[in-house]
Amino acid sequence: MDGAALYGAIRAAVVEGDAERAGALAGEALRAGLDPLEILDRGFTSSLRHVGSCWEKGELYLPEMMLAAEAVKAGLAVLKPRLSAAGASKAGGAAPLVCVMGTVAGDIHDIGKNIVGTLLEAIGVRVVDLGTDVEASRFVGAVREHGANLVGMSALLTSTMPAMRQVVEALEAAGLRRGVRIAVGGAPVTKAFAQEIGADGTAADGMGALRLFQSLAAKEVPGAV
Amino acid sequence: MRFEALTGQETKTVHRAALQILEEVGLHLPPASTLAGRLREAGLQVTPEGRLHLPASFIEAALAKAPRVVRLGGRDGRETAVLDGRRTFITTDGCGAWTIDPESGERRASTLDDVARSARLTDALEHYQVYWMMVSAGDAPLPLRTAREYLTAARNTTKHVQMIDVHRPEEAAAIVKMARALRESGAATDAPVSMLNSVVSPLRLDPGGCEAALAFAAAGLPVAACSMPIASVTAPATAPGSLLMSHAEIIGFTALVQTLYPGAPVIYTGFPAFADARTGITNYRDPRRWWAAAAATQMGQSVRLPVFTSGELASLLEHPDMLCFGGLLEVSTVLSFEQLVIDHEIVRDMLLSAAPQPVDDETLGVDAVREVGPGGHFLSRRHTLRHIREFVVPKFSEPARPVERAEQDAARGSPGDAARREALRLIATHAVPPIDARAAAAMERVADGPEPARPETRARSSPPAKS
Ligand code: B12
Repeated sequence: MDGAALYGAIRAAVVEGDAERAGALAGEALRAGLDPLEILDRGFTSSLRHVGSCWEKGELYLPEMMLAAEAVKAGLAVLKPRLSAAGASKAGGAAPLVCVMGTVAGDIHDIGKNIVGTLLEAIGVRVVDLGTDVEASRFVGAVREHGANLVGMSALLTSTMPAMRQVVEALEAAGLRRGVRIAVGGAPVTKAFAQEIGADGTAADGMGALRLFQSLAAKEVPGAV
Repeated sequence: MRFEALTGQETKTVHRAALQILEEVGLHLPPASTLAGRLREAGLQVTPEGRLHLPASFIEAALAKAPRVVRLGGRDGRETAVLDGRRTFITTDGCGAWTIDPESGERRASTLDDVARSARLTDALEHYQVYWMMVSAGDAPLPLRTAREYLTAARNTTKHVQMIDVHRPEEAAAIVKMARALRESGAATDAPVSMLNSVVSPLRLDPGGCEAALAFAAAGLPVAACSMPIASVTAPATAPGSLLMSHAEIIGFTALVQTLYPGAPVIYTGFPAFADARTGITNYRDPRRWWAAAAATQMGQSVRLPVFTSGELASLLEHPDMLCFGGLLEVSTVLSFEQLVIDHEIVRDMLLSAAPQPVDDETLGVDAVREVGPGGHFLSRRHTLRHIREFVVPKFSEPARPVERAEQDAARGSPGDAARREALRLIATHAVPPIDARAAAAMERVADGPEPARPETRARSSPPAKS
């Protein structure tokens, strides 16, 4: 297959959510001598963007988008060693993006968090998922341990929303706040609330979260492109 | 009337698959939690990874300890809902973080005032027998929020209250104390309050919620053992798949409660649901939900537990003991007082539509037909007079009327406006007898917590309507 045919095949694999084929095609593209960054961009990232916009238009359903994201992840895994060898990851910029994600203390809802986490992984972010009912101290510990530059919190209960503020405060107290961008989400979370607790933003759905994290990373994380 | 969602054979197939899942896959819980410790003490094995494999023989033996009849009492000894399979009791929906303000129409965060007003309105609406905590009061400080919500609800309705947002053992302990005060005063004869705890689909136990439920069980207060899987998200993407997940989770959790507290009153609470395929959010409008609720009712009946479900008409035809319907919008997140009034009318109609219509000489009215003969009408017959009061008159759902009346009504607003006016009228005029003074004092002490409450909070926790 030539370049154009390969990119077409990758897009089809992503749209069909076929992770196995997506991984194999990534390998084939590398062997064909295509530039790893271009494979990522023209092959996978653009396909994900296409899938995301179909989802936003209501043409694709959520499980179809999630499987597409898994297929992109599989391709990314194959490309990754060659991307770092090339010295830079387009998705990650100079500093690789690491996001600590969790549902805050007292709360066990994790569907939304899992959706956001999977989509983030598909754009090359390393997601450290702390699970549910996560105390502020564990967020702090994980940010330090993994050198995270992004934090994502989820809360679905009005009674656990205050725990998000505690995480922001704990990161501040630990001297880590300036090095991370914080996004919060979950059905009851509003823009005003995010602002009030000193977070950097919120989004109402998975694609919105993806855009939010991308803009936070691109604009503000020290070292990112 | 009966509508069979499942054949007897299918009921057995679902049950067998659930037992297989509980044994092979098991439930998960944090291995170092107090809950895991208690289950180990009771002889169960929790693996170091937190897996609890439950053999079929264990489940069957534990389920056999659960009572078939559960009594949900009012706080003053009247109006006990006896869940014995003979009648369907209706609960309101819950618990909305937001409320559409009945005066301003504004959509805002819910408050204790909304608990007070929705409880009072529910008290006035005869077809509701159980007040499900309708909102989460954002203005009540944590961790006493749920205690204040309960006290506020109890002040405003004598009907049974079921808490659905209690998920910490301390919160449960406070409410158990309040229930004890009501019982010790002699006012409440049956459990005046119960709580719902959900298994976290798929197959995970929330240690806080479970501990809270166990505190209720220990005090003899009923627990709604709930599962609300969402097909395609937290359960297989089919109606039977959602049903299977809910059945496995409910019987698994019920068996654990029965192991620690044999004979504790548990209600089989199955809300199998479906996702909005685009967003993953629960979609109440998936029509298969009604099949699933009816099927869940059959599954609960097959293990001889009282059943609680939601799913409107189809499930009603299966005769669950309890059915949740009404008062909230936007997938149960927004309280609307006018909606509660409208839904109450729908509840009445649903109950009637599922009621049997006995066929005999009197109901056939052959004599009346003979008297009237061809032509003429039945309006002035004694037979008609005997039955005309059985007819329902729609108040809020578009009655047919002369053009001129319709124009007048339109000028006064939509049917929704009429319902809103009715809600406000009932809240303002409906009288609820006060809680027994001694019990009320004891309950207030609990709801005030260790520190004295700030005066502002106190004022809010008392009902706004006359009390
Ligand atoms: C499913 C569900 C459950 C499941 C959870 C299963 C699971 N594995 O997560 C179960 C049944 C276990 C459950 C349990 C409980 N629940 Co619940 N639950 C829901 C329900 C129906 C849907 C939530 C959901 O999954 N939505 C789908 C996902 C896709 O949407 P989402 O989470 O909002 O996420 C999206 C966005 O918000 C955003 N997002 C999310 N996170 C993040 C993070 C970042 C960083 C960003 C940028 C974006 C983002 O993107 C996501 C993708 O689109 C809601 C009702 C509702 N309408 O929201 C109630 C609801 C949240 N639950 C409620 C309650 C009360 C409970 C319980 C206390 C009930 C009980 N007594 O057991 C327990 C909670 C126990 C606890 N300690 O937390 C109430 C909360 C009321 C309140 N005042 O806050 C609600 C509103 C229902 C109700 N009306 O009563 N629940």
